[in-house]
Amino acid sequence: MNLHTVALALIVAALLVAGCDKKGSVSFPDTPPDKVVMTFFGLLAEGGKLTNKEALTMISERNGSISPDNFRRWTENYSKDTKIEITKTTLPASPDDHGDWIARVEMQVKTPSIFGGEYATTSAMHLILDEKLKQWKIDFLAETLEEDSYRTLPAEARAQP
Amino acid sequence: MRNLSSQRYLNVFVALAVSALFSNAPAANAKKTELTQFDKRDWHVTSQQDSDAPLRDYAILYDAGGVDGALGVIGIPSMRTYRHIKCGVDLHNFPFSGSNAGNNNGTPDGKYLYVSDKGADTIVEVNLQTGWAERIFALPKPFGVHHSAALAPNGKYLFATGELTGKMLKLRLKDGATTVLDIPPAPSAPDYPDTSKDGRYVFAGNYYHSAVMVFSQDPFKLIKEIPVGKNPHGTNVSPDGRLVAVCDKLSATLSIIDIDKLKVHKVIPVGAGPLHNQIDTLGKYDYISCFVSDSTSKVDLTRMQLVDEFPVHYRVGHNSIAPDNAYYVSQNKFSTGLFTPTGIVFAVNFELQDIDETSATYGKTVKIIPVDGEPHEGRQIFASYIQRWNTGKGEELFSKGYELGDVKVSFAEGHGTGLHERPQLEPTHVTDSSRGWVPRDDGKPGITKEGDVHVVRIKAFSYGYVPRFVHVPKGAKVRIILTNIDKAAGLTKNPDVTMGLAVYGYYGPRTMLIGVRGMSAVGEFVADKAGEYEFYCQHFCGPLHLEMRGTLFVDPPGQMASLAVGDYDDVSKQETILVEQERKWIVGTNKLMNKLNEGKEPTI
Repeated sequence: MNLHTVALALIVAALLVAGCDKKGSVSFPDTPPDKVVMTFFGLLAEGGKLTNKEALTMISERNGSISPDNFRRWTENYSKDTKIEITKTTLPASPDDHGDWIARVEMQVKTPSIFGGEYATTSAMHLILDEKLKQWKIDFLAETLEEDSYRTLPAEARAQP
Repeated sequence: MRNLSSQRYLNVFVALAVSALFSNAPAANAKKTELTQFDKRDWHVTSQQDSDAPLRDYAILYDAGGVDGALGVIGIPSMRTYRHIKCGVDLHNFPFSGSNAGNNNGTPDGKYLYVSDKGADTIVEVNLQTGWAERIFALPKPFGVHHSAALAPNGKYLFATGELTGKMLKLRLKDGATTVLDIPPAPSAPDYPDTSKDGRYVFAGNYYHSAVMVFSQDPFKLIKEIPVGKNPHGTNVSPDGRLVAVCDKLSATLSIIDIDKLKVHKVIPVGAGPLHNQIDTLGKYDYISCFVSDSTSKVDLTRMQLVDEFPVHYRVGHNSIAPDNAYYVSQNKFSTGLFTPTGIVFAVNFELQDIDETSATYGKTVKIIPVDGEPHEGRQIFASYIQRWNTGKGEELFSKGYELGDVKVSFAEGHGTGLHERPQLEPTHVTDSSRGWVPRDDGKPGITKEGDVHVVRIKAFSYGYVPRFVHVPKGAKVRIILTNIDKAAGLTKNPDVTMGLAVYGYYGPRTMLIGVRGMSAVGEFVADKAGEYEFYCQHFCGPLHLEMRGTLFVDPPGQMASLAVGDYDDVSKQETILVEQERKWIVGTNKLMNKLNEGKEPTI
């Protein structure tokens, strides 16, 4: 086998691998995931049944659905004074093991405190691509977030001086 | 042809006879409302009615409302909610005053019930006749009450379990004096108690020991542990005083203990997740709530076997039985898809089942209603026990007493004989604290300091917390961020399981966090009282819900908080739960602790 043949074989193999990559066949929706998250919490902050129902339609049903009743009671006391700032948005380069395209939106959340001022928390939210609807859908129940490792952390915690 | 015609006549005759028979049946069985002289005073009672939902209920179901801190009062069989009686923070369990004769409903005298408040660590005395909380027993700290289900036969003493600290307590109802026992070895969780009818024993499950503990009532001391199935819960003595029925939560069995021999007589398979018993007044049948199998299991206590099973909707916890054994109420924890949403606290439900074997609807659900809070113990009483105060003679009935069958009921002892002398306590639930929800926090569990605030991140799952032991210094500003990290909640795979976090006692009214899925619950308060305080999941989340616990240590300067080191005398005063004028009705039992020495108590 001469060098020519080897090079040709490598080129063909590279083309085949590129052809197998699903990314080429997926186009992400026009509305980016961070915009979806902001809209979602905007609806929750607004309050009311209809807005809550609309927010529910933004949630992915890939890993199970939530009844409207439950969703409403889980979210209706979300404070309208909470401020959200998106700190990072990561679009997927490839699908996960289940073939889902998952974007990650990280945000900083500021909420009024009874001790005065505001306190900040961070939140990471996954969004699953709904290829049929061409929309990013929110993984509200955090089924795709890996958190099982938390369970093995030390049972005892104390404040550092 | 003739034969056929005769046959037709015969058929028509039989059909007419049968239809005549059945068309008469409803009229014969209809329950007529009996009018009394008092009814004639009421504007809404105008005539006798044939109805299966009479205006007057013959029985009343009281339920310890759990997280809404109120007692529910519900009519049987109409299942109408009459009222809620505010008592505290997180109500669990109660006996009626009177005696412990009979089944779980006891033999009430119609005066009081004594409900345990797990969140505030108190027992609240509710006057059944006025419908108000009248006295609060501030239990010796540390204690961590769960159940206060058991009265001594003479009705003068109450036995309660300190599930959160591994203790048992005998309380003299007259003045709140207590004897407290430690139940080693740790971990120890005395759970649901009941007393023998002859005054000899107190029985209480201990889920950490997978055993039923046996105490003598007088002197009050532990005398034996009887191994039963895994993680026992409901522990009830039969009305004939012969046996104790124990729900082995994780073994799907009912252990029957012979009281004379103090050993297990039989183990009966009953269905998955048995939690509570209701034995009928005859001691013939035991109705068991089975959480996992969504059913009411009926055990014949004579034949010692399972004889029937009724489906419930869904995930039953406690249960109760009508005083005439005609109805059974399955107090279900989940109402998935059943009702209209009305707020952040989801509706659990009560399901009325007909258990009268002679009834056409035997074994069927006849009514299901949404209820407030997350009720625990339910007990029923004949409605005739509650006097009619709308007759203009209320004051007289209090000062002179009244007849209840053969019994003369008197309010001569206690706070005063006049109606105007009796207090109405309406404890405030939330003090100096805040609770709310934020987008799901992704911080690592543990404690960080942000400025002068100690931020405690706790992850909750089926069935535990990380971290479980939390230390903060006394005086610290504390912010707890609780995140439910269950994927599909535990054994039962319910998608909508809510986790909770309530620190018992002083911090109970300041926490009560509700860990819904998809959001994080945040609570802020100042940890200004030192001590070791257990926290627990106050929202029913599955079979091992009770075992979901942790500890908040508020360390005093230079010391480690423990059950011996803390501001327990201070917190026993319950000063933040009541306003000034209500404080005189608090019975501070810390000062009286162990005044009743073993062996020197009055004979029961």
